[in-house]
Amino acid sequence: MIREFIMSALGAFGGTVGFSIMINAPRRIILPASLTALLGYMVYEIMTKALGHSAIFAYFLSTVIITLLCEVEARVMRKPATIFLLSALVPLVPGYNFYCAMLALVENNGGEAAAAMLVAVQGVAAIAVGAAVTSCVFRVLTTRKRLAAK
Amino acid sequence: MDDTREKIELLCMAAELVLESGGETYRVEETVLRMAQGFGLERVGVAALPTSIFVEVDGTTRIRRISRRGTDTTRLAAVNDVSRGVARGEMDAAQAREALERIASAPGVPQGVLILAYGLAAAAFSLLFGGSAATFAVTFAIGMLVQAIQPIFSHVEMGALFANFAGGVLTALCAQGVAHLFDYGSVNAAIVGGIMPLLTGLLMTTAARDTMYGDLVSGVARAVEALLLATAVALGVFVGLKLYALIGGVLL
Repeated sequence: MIREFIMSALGAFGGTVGFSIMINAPRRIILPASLTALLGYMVYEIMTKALGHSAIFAYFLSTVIITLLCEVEARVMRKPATIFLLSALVPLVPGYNFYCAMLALVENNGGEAAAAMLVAVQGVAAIAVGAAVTSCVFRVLTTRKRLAAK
Repeated sequence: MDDTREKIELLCMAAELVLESGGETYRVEETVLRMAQGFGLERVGVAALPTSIFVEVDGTTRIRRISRRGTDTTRLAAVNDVSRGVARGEMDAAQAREALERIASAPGVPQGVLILAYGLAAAAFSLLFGGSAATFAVTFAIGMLVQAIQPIFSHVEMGALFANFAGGVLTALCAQGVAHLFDYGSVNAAIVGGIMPLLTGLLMTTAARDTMYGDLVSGVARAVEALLLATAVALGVFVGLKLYALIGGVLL
């Protein structure tokens, strides 16, 4: 179990570094974004593997945590939050379920394919909504604070 | 009047750069309005879609069509800095033009670096799905191969679709083929790792953000594009696995 977690941590970190380079992320943000990705993915792993929560809830919660961290990093480093998010959310892409669906289709197993695809689509929805809602709320709260300070 | 024209050109240039680099629709409009304010332009109208931009200042309209869409966050951040500089009055039109031209002509990531980065990303992601050190090495090689063939599609119409499809086929074929030669651990991990960097559009964060900010048309358009590209990858993997089974390989 511990070994599995260490492998996942390495994978999430390395994968985010690689992908950040691919989308030409500014050098200074690669390390913070990748560490955020690592932390977020660990939340996902612990929730699904150790605590037995559903994948959808885990996707949602880890997305919310990653988005909050990205918004804070963006404020600190004075860069748009989007550029942190585009890197940091990458390990959460439900590629595995997507692939399982394809494998089941090849093996002519429609039921299994549909089930796997449903999990993938729900994951995508949970991540998209989680990120959008969190950053909108964050934005509204921080702007109001600035207005009140004036 | 010429002065105004020059400034509208700059607004368009900035908007184009943001859209081409994967910025959200509201960011495009915000960038234009912020710069217009800094330039002292009044009565500015702007509307952006993922594929086109309309900018109007005092009766003069510019329309641009965007055909190249990618993600380049260094560019996004740089244009953002320029627009804020203009808004604060630290940059005049000439300086803004110079800065935007520098951003536009900056070379992207060189292909050699992209190949290594894709390899690293793919190999690392394979670890998330139960890959071992051997899986890491094999997936690294597959990832480099997938990125190496990408330039073939860059000048083809609908190139992104074909590139994703080919990436899926290549990943599935190579992962199964190599597994036939020697045991490197989880084949599934290698395939999923290999296609993960192609599937990142699935995050749909930009589409969801656009929708939340009320840019409904942009949100739907981006979501459809993401689904289409992911379907191409999935189809590629499907065809790759089928092909391998047809030429007599046993799926592992």
